[in-house]
Amino acid sequence: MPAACGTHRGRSAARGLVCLATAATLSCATGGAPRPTSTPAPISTLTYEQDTLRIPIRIDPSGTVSFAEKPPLAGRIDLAPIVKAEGLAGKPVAAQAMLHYGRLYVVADEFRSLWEITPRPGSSVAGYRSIPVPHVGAGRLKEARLSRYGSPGSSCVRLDHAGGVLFITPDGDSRDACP
Amino acid sequence: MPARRTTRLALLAVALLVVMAAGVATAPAASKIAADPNELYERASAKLQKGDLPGASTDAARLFDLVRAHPQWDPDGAYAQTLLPPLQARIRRLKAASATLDQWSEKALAELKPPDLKSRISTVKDYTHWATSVVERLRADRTAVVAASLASPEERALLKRTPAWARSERLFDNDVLKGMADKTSDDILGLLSGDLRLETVLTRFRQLKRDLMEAIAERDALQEKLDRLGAPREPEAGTAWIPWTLAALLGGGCGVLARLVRDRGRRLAVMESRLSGCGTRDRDRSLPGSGDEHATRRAA
Repeated sequence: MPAACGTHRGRSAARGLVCLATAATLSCATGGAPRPTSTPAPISTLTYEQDTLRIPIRIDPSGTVSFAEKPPLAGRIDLAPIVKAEGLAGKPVAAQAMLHYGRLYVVADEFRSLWEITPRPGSSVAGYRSIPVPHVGAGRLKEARLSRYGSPGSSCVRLDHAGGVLFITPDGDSRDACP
Repeated sequence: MPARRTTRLALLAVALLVVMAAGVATAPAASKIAADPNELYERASAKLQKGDLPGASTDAARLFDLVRAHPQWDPDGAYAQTLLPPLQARIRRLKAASATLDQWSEKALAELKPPDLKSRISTVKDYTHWATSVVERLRADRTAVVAASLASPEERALLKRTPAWARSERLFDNDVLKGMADKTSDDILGLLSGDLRLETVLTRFRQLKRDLMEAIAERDALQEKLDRLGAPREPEAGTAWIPWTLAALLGGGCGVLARLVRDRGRRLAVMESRLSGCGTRDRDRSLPGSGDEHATRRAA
């Protein structure tokens, strides 16, 4: 019971009643026993590994890629911000993509970086970021190729290129070996 | 002293630049990336689509070896368990069907027995009908062989891109007709008289034959002269062409005969020139037929 209840004897009975009523009301509203509000309700899970093989894609000069070219995939993705950041805006780019644990990775020869695109569930937008690639000769990737590599349940995206190999873990970290 | 040092540093810098440039130039060749499972799978599938069964089989085997030796390349067994088995099974079925088709082609060619044209066929038209019916029968036979080997229409379409299918097509286009032509070359000339449309060919053949007989008579006469003068007998100008003539008469056809008659003037001209070398003036005996006069003048 709160400490404010029970200070003066004259009004204490009335106040006590109010406090009891308030406590009873709050108790009914929260379903009886008090629950800690910091712990979320447990969510049921199941195994869900969403990966693809390497998908060759063609980025058109407007920066758009149509997945409908590779059925049963469908939809489109606007890579204009990425090709602009790579300095390749306005020209067609032969690229490749790979879906790995729900994230899409995109790379192409003449890119400087590998790009990670993270869809936002329930919307038609996605976040994106560049992943720097070490040992890129002359500042641009050559012979870039995406593969899956590793062990079941914890595989990596493997980027081979003329300058070496880079692995992206399921958490999105870049490593020089797949853990 | 400082000048010498500067020169040495400049030389070192130049050497360093040369080494770096060489390294940059050779880097792409040295960093060739080995094929990954995706690449091998796509390569095998593409070769299969083109009907290159040995190539597809080789790439599929390389993929199998790679994912077996290095399972990291195939984390979830997508290739080893899902993609590769049906691809290899399809390649196996197509190879078996291809081998069956080759055996069928060889057997069909070996069993090709053209009929006795003299007794069973009276005109070239009948001959053509016979060839057509044989090709139709073989086509139907091949369709049955393929259907028995491959159940899937897609795989039958792939089989049509293989060398075995091309060989079976050649059987229809060339081998059947060639086999019959080889067997019936002697008889076919006799059949020409049965078809009115080929009457002109027959007339030309008779004319060529008559010209040839005349040429033989002239040659004999010239040879007699040579013998009387004691000149040595030259096989190339005298006897060597007789087998050709016989071959032409027996089955070589009008084309061979026409060539022989054309060559006749040249050969006789050589003999005449020998005679003229012995003091004989027979050059004015130009021979009938195309090119004889020209050949005689040239030889003289």
